[in-house]
Amino acid sequence: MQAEALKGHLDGLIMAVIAGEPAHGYAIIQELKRRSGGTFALPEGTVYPVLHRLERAGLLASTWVTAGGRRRRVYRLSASGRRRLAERQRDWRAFSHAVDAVFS
Amino acid sequence: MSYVDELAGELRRVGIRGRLERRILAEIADHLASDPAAALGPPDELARGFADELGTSRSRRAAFAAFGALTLAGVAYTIAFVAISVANVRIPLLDARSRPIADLAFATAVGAPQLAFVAGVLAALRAFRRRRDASLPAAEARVLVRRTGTALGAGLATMAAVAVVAYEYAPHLSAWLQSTCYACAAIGGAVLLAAAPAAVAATRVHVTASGEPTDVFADLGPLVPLQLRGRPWTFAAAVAAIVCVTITAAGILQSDPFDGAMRGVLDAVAVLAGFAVLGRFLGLRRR
Repeated sequence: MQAEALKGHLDGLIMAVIAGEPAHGYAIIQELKRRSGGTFALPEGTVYPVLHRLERAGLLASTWVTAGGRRRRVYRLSASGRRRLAERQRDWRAFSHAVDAVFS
Repeated sequence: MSYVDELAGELRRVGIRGRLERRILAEIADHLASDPAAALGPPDELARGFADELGTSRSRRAAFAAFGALTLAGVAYTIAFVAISVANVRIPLLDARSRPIADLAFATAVGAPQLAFVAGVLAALRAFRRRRDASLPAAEARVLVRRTGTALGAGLATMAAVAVVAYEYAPHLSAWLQSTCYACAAIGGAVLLAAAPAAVAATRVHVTASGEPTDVFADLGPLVPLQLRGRPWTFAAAVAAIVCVTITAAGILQSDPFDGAMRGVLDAVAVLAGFAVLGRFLGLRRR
């Protein structure tokens, strides 16, 4: 998928991945790739600035977690992040239904 | 040199240092430990990605913080002037402790708040208009920071001027009135200073995204009549004319039309001069 096309949806996709369970950057990227069947194989570095911005906006929260001798920054969705994700999912469903209706 | 070392240098180059720099490096090091062949992209691009988003959110936050501080400082300024009005004091302008200082302070106390108001409102307007943008073009972020800095600087100059005016004309002011002026100046100044670190933090990160800055017509949107859009000097002349007519009308209502007209013309000239000197700096016009 074109990186530009994905750009506008990256925030929502990342929040959707984290909504399931808290995760660190690498795991988020892998999960995004897995759930999209490899379609969303974006440059991995682009995810970190987005994670930081979403945290600054209060949509994510993060903490250092030590596991297996490694310190990792783990992100989880905040309450306002959950609300924003629900909004985005609603908007996307309405949009994709409309596009489907036109295409079919 | 390792990827993390290169990234450290690039982060410092774009102004990301200290705790945030260490956190980014630790996250990227952990990522590379999970997958040494990870496609993170060139270190300079990654650093710019962080800087563009961080600089954008910092410049927006600084604009909102300055606007909030200016609102509170505006209340303090109003209280000082209402107090002078309530005390019914006629300040003999020629009888200051030091005429040049008093004149300068008086001119600043009248002119600087107008500049602070215009710059602060325009900064907040642009920050609000672009509140959903993850990253702004560097030129746009620069305009935001300039407006914020100008607003805070002019606000601080106003507060200092209020205190200096109170000191210069102290023999003609009662003790409570002096205290009120000093307190208002101190509170207003403190509030503005509290907003300054956000503006300084915004200047430290170098946004690099390309793109043209927008102008005052984008900021004001439908408030500007169609005939004036894209014609900045005509717009400035129209604003100056409105200011002139409004102040003259106020003078007529106060039974002092000559004084009103004089002040109206002076303010209109100040509007045009401000537009000529600061128009490009504050992103009001492109040329």
